[in-house]
Amino acid sequence: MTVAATPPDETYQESTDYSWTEKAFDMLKCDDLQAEVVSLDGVVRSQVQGPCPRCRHPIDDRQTHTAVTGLMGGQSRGPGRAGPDQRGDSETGLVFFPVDVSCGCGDSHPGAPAGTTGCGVSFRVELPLQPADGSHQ
Amino acid sequence: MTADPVPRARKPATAPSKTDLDERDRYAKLTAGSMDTVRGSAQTWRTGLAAFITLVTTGVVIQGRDTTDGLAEHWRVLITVLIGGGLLLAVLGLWQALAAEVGTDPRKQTLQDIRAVHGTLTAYEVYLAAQAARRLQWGRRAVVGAVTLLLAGIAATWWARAPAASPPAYLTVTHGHAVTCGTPQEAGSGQLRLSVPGSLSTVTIPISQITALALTAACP
Repeated sequence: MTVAATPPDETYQESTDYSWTEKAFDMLKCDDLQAEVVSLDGVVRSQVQGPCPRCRHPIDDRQTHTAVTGLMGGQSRGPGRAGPDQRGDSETGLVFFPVDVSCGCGDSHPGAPAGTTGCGVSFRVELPLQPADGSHQ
Repeated sequence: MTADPVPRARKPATAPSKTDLDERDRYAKLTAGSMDTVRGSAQTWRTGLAAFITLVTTGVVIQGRDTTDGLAEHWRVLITVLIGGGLLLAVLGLWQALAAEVGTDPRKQTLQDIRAVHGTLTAYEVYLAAQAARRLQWGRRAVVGAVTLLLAGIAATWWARAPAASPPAYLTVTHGHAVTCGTPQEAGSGQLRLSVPGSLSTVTIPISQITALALTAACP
């Protein structure tokens, strides 16, 4: 008889400790976590999928990083070009885009405030910004 | 073994701060409100433009030909082109604002279609908002052009010259005890024929009866 390997529920703990960012990076390297940042017609979106670095519950974080803001002197605001947070890689010429992800596993962890899902951990991943044609999952 | 041409990720220098996460959440609201932002702006522009076009068109209709009636032909052509072009651009601007507000290309799309191209519904909405914003920007440019042309048209009416006044073309003829004033017309030999203003008929006077002739700018 086999038992489904359901990770035990971690207690809720809000944390942005750098160790989670490091762990997420390691998980990206070994393909445990999949992520992409894609730009289509100037609209940048990201998707981070896989287990949460802390509670190991599955997360599917989708964000849109472009907004149409005040309409005077321009249309949309987004990471169309490298800014202070999107340092280009001098070797590859790639623009890396930071994405902040909070565990949104959908489960209510013990000790979580009412109506809050996820284990409370947040981390950052930096991903190469790719045009839609070259997107891969 | 071949190296991965695109690195999957780079190790971030810092973790996100609480402020970063708050800003991310606030930005998500801004993103979700993109379409409303554009539509709101487009609605304002559409209302303003419609009022503007109504005002200008009414002005042109009420004025009618009065403004240009007494002008030389080349000035009339110039003013017509400027005001007509201005109105045309204003209508184009109004069309663009309307298109930005309500769209012009309705089509059926499944969520799968949208996901396949844009990834997420929000990204699709932002894409549509950006398209609408682009149309609105063209609309605003058209309005700038319209106002410029209309102002130039108005200014042209101030500076336009009236055609040169015609030389006196009336002839006052004294014949016997009568005096007739009118425009000379073609007549047989020994006769003078005058077309009298305000009368449909002409007056023919034998030249032998004429005792005096005078050129005059207007008939009494």
